Amino acid sequence: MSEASLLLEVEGLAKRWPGAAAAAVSDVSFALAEGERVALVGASGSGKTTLARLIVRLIEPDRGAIRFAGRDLLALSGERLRRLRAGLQLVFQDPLAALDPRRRVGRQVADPLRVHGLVPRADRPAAVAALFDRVGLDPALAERFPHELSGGQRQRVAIARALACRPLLLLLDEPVAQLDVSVKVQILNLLDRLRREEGLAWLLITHDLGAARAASDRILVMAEGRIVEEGPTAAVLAAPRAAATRALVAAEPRLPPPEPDPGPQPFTAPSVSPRTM
Amino acid sequence: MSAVLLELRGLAVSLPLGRRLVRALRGLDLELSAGERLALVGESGSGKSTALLAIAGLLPEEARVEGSRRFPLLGREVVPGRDFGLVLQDPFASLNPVLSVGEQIGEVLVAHRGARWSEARRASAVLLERVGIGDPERRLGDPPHRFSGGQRQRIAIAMAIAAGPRLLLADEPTSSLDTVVQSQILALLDGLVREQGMALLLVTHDLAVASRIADRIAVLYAGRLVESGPAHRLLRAPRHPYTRALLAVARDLERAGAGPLAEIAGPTLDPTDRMQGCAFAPRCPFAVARCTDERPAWRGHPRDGVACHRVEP
Repeated sequence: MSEASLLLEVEGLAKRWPGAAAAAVSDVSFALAEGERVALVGASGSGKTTLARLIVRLIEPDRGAIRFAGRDLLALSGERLRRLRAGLQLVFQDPLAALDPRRRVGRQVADPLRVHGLVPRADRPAAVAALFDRVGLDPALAERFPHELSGGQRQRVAIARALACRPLLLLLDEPVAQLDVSVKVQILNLLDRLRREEGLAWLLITHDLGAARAASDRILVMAEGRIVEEGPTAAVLAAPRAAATRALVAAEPRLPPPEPDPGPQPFTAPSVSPRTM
Repeated sequence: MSAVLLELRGLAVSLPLGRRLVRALRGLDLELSAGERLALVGESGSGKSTALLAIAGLLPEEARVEGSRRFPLLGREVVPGRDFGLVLQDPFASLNPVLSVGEQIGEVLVAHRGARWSEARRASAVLLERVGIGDPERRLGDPPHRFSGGQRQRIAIAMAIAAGPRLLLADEPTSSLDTVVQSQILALLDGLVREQGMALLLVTHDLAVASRIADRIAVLYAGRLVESGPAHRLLRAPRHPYTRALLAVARDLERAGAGPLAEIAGPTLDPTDRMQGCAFAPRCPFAVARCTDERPAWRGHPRDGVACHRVEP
């Protein structure tokens, strides 16, 4: 990995809450390259959410450095920070909380286009329709309010709004944790398509190893504020070394294996060819 | 087979939405035996939570209900807390934020077991210890917000089992918890239900969670049961195309590698639609004309069967 391709570099990041006995984030360093998919996993209280909030500067670190696209994120402020931040977009677990309940979702997707001056006013409806199309939503849904959409549709709206800023990096905070499995795979497939089409990178924050397995090439495991294990996702999850990783793997709810020999199929020969299931 | 503790026959629940009617349940037949552990599995909009509310007698007033709910082993009046315990996804919804956890557990014991407050305090401490809260005597006086999410769910479980009910109803009790805590809570529920010989009705969208704890799994789709069977049979050899698709998706996610994940294609049913045939037909790779025209009857045993025209009888 060449130095030039690094998109996000975190070095010696530390944060202790006033009065807390232990640091929430303690000496964390890692890097993420352009187009790379990295998962940050850990149990509740491991510090992964604090780390994410530090990276987007919702909170200030006690120590450490964050470079995004080669720029020192902590040294910037005001308009220059806002401009750089447009390239780093957050998608939350609960899109209902992230969306304004009183405004039509199309307008909310248009907000970043307006705020960052990306698209002139006259072209915004077409740009919003194009964004809806890119995330697999019927553009007619732009007229709906958040509560009139399903959970999966709301998460697509949140992704469309993030894409409006033409980001290089998505910070995905448990984006599929509240979704049914059939909707979860649709969102994971959407993210994968967007990455292939647009060269997006992401940091996926999750406790769901299934999501990490499907949506990351490299995994960082956090426990007690530190990164305790790191490596290719498949290899780390197949042979976890750190105690925290082993606990996560052991706790993962898994289905029993299917019948080795299914025996005769329960169906009469279908008269239509089965679609992909 | 043990005696039937709960019996639903043709349970249909509709909820008004503006001028339309959301058909949350479209005729559910379900039996639960004493001591049995049943998982009712379905995705958003399948009606699983509505079913649980109907069983608990907690449907909103405007709900239109048809069909019947019976508890053959219980008295004429079924009392929440005494006859069944209820555990919800968000433990804050079952806990009072301004009362100490000791007062809340004690209240159940006083109301339903006729305990005196002095006894209730000791019994509450025993219950807290039983659900895995350390230093229970001291923690009795703490309000819910002093506990972590997993601990709060443990406390909600302690309240739900305090009166020794024969039935525990649990609606996604581990969905808002991380996997490590989820696994601990499932083990706790499993142990308690076995020790006390309680029946468990667990509502979940997650087949893997169901597989950890259930003897039997019933799969709901668009307000109707599509398949039911012993957990080991249903998970290893599912028969209904929806169960098969759901398992295929979940298994693909477990072993995900390169390339897109398996999806269940096709539109879900509009909940206000008066459906004639099988609700899964528009998404089913095996559907024929009959599937959209005629509702599939239940085939097989009530506890091990399937509602599908395309399955061999």
